[in-house]
Amino acid sequence: MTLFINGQPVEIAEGTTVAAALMQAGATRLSVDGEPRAPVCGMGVCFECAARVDGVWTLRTCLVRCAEGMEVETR
Amino acid sequence: MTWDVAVVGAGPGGLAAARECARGGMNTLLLDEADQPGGQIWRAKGGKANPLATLPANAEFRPSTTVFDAGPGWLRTLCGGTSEDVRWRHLILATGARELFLPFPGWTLPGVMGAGGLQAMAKGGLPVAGKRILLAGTGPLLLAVAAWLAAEGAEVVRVCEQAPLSRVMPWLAAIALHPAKASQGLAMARDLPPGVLRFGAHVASVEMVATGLKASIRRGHRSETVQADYAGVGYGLVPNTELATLLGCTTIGAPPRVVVDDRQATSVPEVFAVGEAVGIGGHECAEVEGEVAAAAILGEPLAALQRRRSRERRLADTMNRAFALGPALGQLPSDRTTVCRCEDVPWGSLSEFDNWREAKLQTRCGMGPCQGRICGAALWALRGFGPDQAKPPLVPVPAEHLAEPTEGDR
Repeated sequence: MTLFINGQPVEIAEGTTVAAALMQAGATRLSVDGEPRAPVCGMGVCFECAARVDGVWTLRTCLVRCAEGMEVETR
Repeated sequence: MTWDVAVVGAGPGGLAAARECARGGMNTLLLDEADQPGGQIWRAKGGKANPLATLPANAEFRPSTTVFDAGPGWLRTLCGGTSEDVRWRHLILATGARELFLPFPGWTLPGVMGAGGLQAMAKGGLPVAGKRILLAGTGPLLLAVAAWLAAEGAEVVRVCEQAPLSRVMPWLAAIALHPAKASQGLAMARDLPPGVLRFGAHVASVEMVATGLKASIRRGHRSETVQADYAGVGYGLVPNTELATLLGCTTIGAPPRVVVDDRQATSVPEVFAVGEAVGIGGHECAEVEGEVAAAAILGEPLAALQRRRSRERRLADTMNRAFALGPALGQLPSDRTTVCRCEDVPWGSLSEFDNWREAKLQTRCGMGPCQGRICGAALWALRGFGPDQAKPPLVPVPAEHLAEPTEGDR
């Protein structure tokens, strides 16, 4: 399936979490001091995988599965 | 409606508890944050159901549901943007554990994850075939993850166990007498690539280079450099006790675990706790504790279950002693190393504080969205900081859910 990460189309296998898709695409969030950050715990604890999913801030994308046409923004 | 039993967490302990409660005729609700049952240990690849994690007949399962507030007889949950109150007569906390992450220079770089975290990400669809992977930290999970990743086609370049082999030996001797665990261990050893495992070794720092991650590994006075695409670094597990603490359940130890009696009952009436939340013990332990809690609620005989539980806990004690953290790990962060990843609080700014509460107020350490679940655990381990009290919401939720009136009396 295709989803859009920071506006770029990315091909992702079905069943992939949004956090795994972000990692695959090399998309990072920025920490409060501006450092790039990527997922750490994979289980909904660390909040490093935070991103906007279809316009809504989703704090834990490791708990969300990708859907066709989903738009994800990390910054 | 009011449920006879609400079970929070659908890992091995919660599944066993819900299955037994439902079998005994209790109107049972099982909640989990994940979209599939099984917890962390029975997580299947690609969002599929794991056949090991069979849902109990006659119990209702609510996936993707987060508990963010609770009190006597009620839970507040959030599922898909909708909040809902759950009323219960008996509550079983099977909230499991999270990985312990310790700060070292480079631990915040993209590609540096937990060991279990890396496996969870790979099961969530992150491709690992052909990737060079460094695993480090402590505990049996490291070997399990290494064997699993190797079977998935990853190139496991090094596995660094911080505990020296001499300290792990008594645990190896104990599991050798336990048929199921011994065969599990042998299978892992068979899948592990030859020559990659080092005891008494830890990752001292990681930097980003053009070809990926470059890790400096220390083993006694020796050091080596290893390159990898991903690093999974996890220092064992810490119990998830936030919901128990919010309910007023007594906890003990650093990191804290929920105190229970021989019926798995906590200090709060009608609230039970099972599995990793009451002390790291593994899934067999969690399962039997789930059965004990259910039998206690149903008024069924406990003695045989309690004997099984004691056997599992004794083995777990041997494991926890074998993988106790060595003193070298507290020397790894530099003054500039980030400790609180949410608020970017460096290690050096915490040196003047001797308790977490003061450090939080002065530096914002632990005040971000993870609410100190990561840095708080690290500071318990490295600085002996005690836990702070839990406050609702247990995870950040949109403000409108906080404003809604609760059905329960507060």
